[in-house]
Amino acid sequence: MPNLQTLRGAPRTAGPAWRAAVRIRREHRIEVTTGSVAVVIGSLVPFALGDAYWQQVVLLMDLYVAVAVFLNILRGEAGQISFGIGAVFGAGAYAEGMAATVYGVPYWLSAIIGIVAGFLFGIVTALPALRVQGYYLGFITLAVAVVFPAMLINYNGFTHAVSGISVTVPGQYTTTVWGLNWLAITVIVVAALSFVVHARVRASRFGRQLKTAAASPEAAASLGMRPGLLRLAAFGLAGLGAAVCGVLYVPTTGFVSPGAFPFTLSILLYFSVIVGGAGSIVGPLLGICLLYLVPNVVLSGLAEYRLLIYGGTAFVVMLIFPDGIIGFLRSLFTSGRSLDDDLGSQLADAMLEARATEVRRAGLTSEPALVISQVRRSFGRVRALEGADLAVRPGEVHGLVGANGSGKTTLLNAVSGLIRLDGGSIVIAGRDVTHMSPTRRANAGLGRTFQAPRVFEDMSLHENLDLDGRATELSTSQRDRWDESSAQLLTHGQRRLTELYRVLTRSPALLLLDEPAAGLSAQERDELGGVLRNLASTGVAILLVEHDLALVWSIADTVSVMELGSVVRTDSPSALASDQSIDALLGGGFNAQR
Amino acid sequence: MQELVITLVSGIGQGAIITLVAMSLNVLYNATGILNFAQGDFLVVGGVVTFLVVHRGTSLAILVAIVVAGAVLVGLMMGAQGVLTLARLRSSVDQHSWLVTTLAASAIIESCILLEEGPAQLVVPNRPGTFELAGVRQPWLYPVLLGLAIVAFFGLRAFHGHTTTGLAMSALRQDLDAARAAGAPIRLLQLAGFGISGLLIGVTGALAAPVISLSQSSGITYALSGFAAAVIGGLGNQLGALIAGPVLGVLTEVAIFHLGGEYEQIAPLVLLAMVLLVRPEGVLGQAAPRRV
Amino acid sequence: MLSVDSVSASYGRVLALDQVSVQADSGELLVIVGPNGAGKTTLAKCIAGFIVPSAGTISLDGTRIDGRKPEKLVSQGVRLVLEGHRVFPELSVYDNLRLSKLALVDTEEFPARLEEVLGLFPILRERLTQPARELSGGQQQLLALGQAFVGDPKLLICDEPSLGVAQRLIPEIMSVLRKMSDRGMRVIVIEQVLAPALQIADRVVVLNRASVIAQGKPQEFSRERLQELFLGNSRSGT
Repeated sequence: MPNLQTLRGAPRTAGPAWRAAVRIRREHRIEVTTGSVAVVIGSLVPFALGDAYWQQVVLLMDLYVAVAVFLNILRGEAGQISFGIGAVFGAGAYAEGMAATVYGVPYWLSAIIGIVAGFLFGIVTALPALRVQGYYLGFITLAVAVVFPAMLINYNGFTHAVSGISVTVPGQYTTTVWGLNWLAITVIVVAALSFVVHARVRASRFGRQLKTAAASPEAAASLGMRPGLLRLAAFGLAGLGAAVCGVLYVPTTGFVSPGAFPFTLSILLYFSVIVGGAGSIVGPLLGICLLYLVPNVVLSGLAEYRLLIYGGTAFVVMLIFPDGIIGFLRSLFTSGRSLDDDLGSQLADAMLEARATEVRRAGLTSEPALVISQVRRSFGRVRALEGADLAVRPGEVHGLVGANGSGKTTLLNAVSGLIRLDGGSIVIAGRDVTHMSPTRRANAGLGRTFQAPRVFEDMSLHENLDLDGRATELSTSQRDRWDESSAQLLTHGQRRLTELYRVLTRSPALLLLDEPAAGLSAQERDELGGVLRNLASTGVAILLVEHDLALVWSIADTVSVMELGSVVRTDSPSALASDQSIDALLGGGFNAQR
Repeated sequence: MQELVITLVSGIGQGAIITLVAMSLNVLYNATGILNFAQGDFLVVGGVVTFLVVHRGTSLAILVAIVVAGAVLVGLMMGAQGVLTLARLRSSVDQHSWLVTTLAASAIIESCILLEEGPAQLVVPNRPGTFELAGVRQPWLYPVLLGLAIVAFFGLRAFHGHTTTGLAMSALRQDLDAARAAGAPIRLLQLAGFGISGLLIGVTGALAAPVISLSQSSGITYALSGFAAAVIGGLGNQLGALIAGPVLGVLTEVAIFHLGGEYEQIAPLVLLAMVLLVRPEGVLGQAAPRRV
Repeated sequence: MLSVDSVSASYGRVLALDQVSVQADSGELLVIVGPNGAGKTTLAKCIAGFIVPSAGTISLDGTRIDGRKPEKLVSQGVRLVLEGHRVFPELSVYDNLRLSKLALVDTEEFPARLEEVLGLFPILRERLTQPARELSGGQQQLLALGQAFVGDPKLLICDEPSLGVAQRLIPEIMSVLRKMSDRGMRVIVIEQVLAPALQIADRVVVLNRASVIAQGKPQEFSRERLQELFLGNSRSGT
């Protein structure tokens, strides 16, 4: 579940757990500082110089930057495409304006109304994201952005949209040093803090969960997360940020009309994020400067060229720097310590240490970790599973082999909960999980790895191990060392071990491994085999689907052979070695003379 | 009675335009998996070509020539867009990249229109004239556009069914690797998809110029309506687009009549939202959109 | 003669082929066998131009073909039949075959080639106008082979032709491949299931874990030999 404490960055739990959760990496700290300082200094300059026109411009820019940063959180961390954030910004602004002017509500209250209205509107724009993703989501949110100003005008009696609404704010004319009133100070602070919020989110457990859910909803579920809820939370956060900015927008300009929120605003914001680089923190600042400041202001005589500049710049950047400008710069300066040669064994040792503390729990039960009974599943005419039975005891390494189409992967997916069954039951650690979602099964003691290890390259090694914030058993020095190591440098085998470690931090009773040896070198396979045997000795039950028969034969206690959707034989490896049920796996049919 | 006639004729007429936009979106989607945000702007470009040349006294022959020229021009422009858009992509369509480049293309085209013609709506004289039905004057263009939509439907069907190139293009969406294994020139076919999509949208824009709103900002609305019709009919399904367009058009006219003119923009999108909630693959669609 | 020389290929970080060398003389039906993940499909895709090897060369009759695009190689007579009996589901059997005009230098030849293929696979003639998705897996495999044969390739690579095909159809597929080989087409058959392919093979290459672990005549591959190759000499279990 998203952890609101880490979301707000306010530590409620003391000690290493909190530190692990909210630790911001060095290069991100640099970005945050750069961004905040640039915003503050840049914003103060017109005030120091007493230029009223530029004061207005810079405050407006600050608000756009802040909204763009929240869009960047939505896009870069949660992977959601949304062109609707301009409309959310507008909704917050308009609600506040209406409350303050038309309904005569005092500013503080109307500000709260504006924030709530914008936030709720943001949640509404998020609902399509529960059904569709990708370009569909893009089109729908764009539709929202197009329709929003039209609706405002449509209901003119209610919104006074045609004439617009002007708003004044108490204390507006009370200025302090350099002519800064409380409003200007708030705007500048909000913009500067937005980078901090982004960095905090990224460093938090919530942020890592967002990334996992964005990259692979299945992997997220297998780690006990709820992708749909995470997505909604991300939209909520972005909407909240945009609404706050909207509420500040109204008194900054003193006037609000639907003309201020055309869909091109949403496109400007989206392009700013892309041009800067969706993976970066300070990118939106660069993007807004390039796409808003330069065309609108510096070339103010050429205002009609605005769109051309948005479009042209975005197009060119996408062609040349698909990762955005900041992303490109970052790739030039990839730092971070290189990885230790024996990283594999370091990871293996860390895993065993982590498990050792859990042995007390797992080793005591004698009941099976997994019982599969008579499971059936058909896909149309194809009978993928036809009454398969299998059981795995704690501490057992159980290999599952079979030819392509025998149903191994389907069975694995059925145990994970990624597909439903037509019949039969699955019991994990004594609990019947047959009707449970993958998330609940993960929470009931099931761990699973996937064929392609989900490792996030823009996170450090430590962050990848610690997606959940649970890796508290690592020593501080090891954690620090691994925090400075970029995950980009990991070999395939090390990624496999990283993924395995991550699953183990949840103390599963049963571990499902889907072709873990695929793509590993001979040495890495031996390493993996050793790790798995050691894990089994700590009491984890391991079900291993593999095509590498040599690996299976060398580490498994029991092997089950699947054929046409059911398990045809289960026995020890040595007994099965000469059994005809595995003929098909050895190439089927021998001494076949012509 | 008059209301019914207006609703039906205008609805079907405007609906035919939406169908043509949707069909051109489908052609590109079927060939490349890309949804072009700039499609509506290309419609406007086609209309601008007509605007620039046609005046009160233009003969119908010249008008036809202009429509053809407009189609070819837009076809080439979309071909160019295709070259640039596909350049960065590997064969599996990288959604992030083309989303931005098609949106960017849209912005670029809109700004060119703005710079060339200004922000106001362009009005094109209705050379083909009007006819009378139940006491109301309706432009000939409406039935002509419906006819164009039907001709385009059968034309595309013939292209995909009877020419080797068309066959290969239709194979792309079904199994890209198998098409590659069969020797299909993938990039060329994808570019041809851009080109054909451009021809279709160009001829529509050039022909329908007097009855569509031509301005820098109207493009996106047509793109969204076209997208709505395409999705409701089942993305990629041309028969679905053919039917969904007039249905959408008529329902929009009804909404305008009873709820106000602002609903012209909103109605197709509300209908789209309703369909997506209930049946995301569209009425005639099979392949589901990328689901959660 | 097809010559694969020390070819290596990777998917990102994963090494799928590790300095693999294979030769196939003209007239020789080569069977490449190995478990999933061994690199068989990767090798097939390297030969057919789908993947560019990171090292090594591939030559056909003295001309280098590695790194060429599939569309070019198809017109030069190198044809890959993908695994999983992949055909175009919405197109009719006839249209599926017609697409292979792309492979013909002279499209006028198509009617004659079509007749030949329909003669080889009468079931396709029966179902000529039906959409391909209505065919069974085995019939789709015959269609996929038919598509390849229409183009009269010089080198045919079949990736797991028995996958997803009913048992009774497999001998038919294998005998057709043998017939083509006897007629002069160079044929490489990739399989996980050795027995049916052994019947038609002139030579066998065994791939495992991205490397060639054995090569030889079909008779050399007894069950004991394969057990030793795949299970290794390790003891089982604990």
